[in-house]
Amino acid sequence: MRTTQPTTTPRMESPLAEASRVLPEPDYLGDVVISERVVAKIASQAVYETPRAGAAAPRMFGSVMPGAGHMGIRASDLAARPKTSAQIDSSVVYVDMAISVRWPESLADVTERIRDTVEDRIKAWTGLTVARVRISVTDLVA
Amino acid sequence: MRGHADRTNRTIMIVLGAIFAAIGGAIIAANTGLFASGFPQRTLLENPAVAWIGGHSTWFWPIAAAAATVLGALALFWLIKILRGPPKAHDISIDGSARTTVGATALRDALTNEIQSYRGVDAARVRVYGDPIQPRLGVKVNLTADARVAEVRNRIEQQALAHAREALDAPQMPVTLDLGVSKKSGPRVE
Repeated sequence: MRTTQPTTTPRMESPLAEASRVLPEPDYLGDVVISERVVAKIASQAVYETPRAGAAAPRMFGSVMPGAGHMGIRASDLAARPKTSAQIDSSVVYVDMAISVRWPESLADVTERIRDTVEDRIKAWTGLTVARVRISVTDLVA
Repeated sequence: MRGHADRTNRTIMIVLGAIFAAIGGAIIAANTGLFASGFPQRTLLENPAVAWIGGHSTWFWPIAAAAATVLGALALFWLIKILRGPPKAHDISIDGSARTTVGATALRDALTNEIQSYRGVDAARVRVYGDPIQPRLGVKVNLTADARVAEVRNRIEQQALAHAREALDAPQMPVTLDLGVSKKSGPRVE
């Protein structure tokens, strides 16, 4: 019977078959996976470094949430990291952020500077392409 | 900010007035015998319209009820629309798209705080109207009784409102400034 032949048992063959499927070429080193949180941190760091912009307190029904600055709720602070989120779709990044800007700086100026910095840094540090940086200014700090 | 629906209101009122005037004129004309149908000789109870309605009451009244409901709903809608004022803006676009926005509430709070910090101002109230690309501001300021009105007004226009225009890069942004004087005097030791 053929099953008595030890060399043809599937148990012996399987590691080889799997290895040849995972490694298409001998110098394949693996994948680099960049977390969305890392990209979001890079973006928020760029805002943090701008003296004219920073974190914004969350709003509820149009006014700043009571208790902002306590219990882990962000307060509006130009020297703090804002809330950011990033979404990675293959090699394209979409960034969303809610920031505060110093009153009365030109909002177009500040946001354009931030957008440029964020796009350059994400491109340089992760190699991902930034498709869109959505900035919503939710507080103005005097 | 009143007057947002003045034109529509005026048009509706003129149309309704014209219709009622035409009906009244027609009745007067009928009474003077202009249509020559024996109208002035009829008694009050000899009413062909009422007789016709009585004859078709099975379907007439449900339809009349439905029409009255629709009319009532429209009237209510109109009243709410008038009383609520113009729609407030939510997000104002900074670069002309939805990519960069500033919350209308953020702008409102910043401007209110700045105006309220001026000497001679008792209370300030800011509203942001209009569409995201062309916002309009309504600023209502209550001055203390002893405030120098011209001075405070100049300061509001040249500092607070200029700041708002500068922040939004909109030098032509329309602003309605409404100044009032309250009975309260400023903080003063006598």
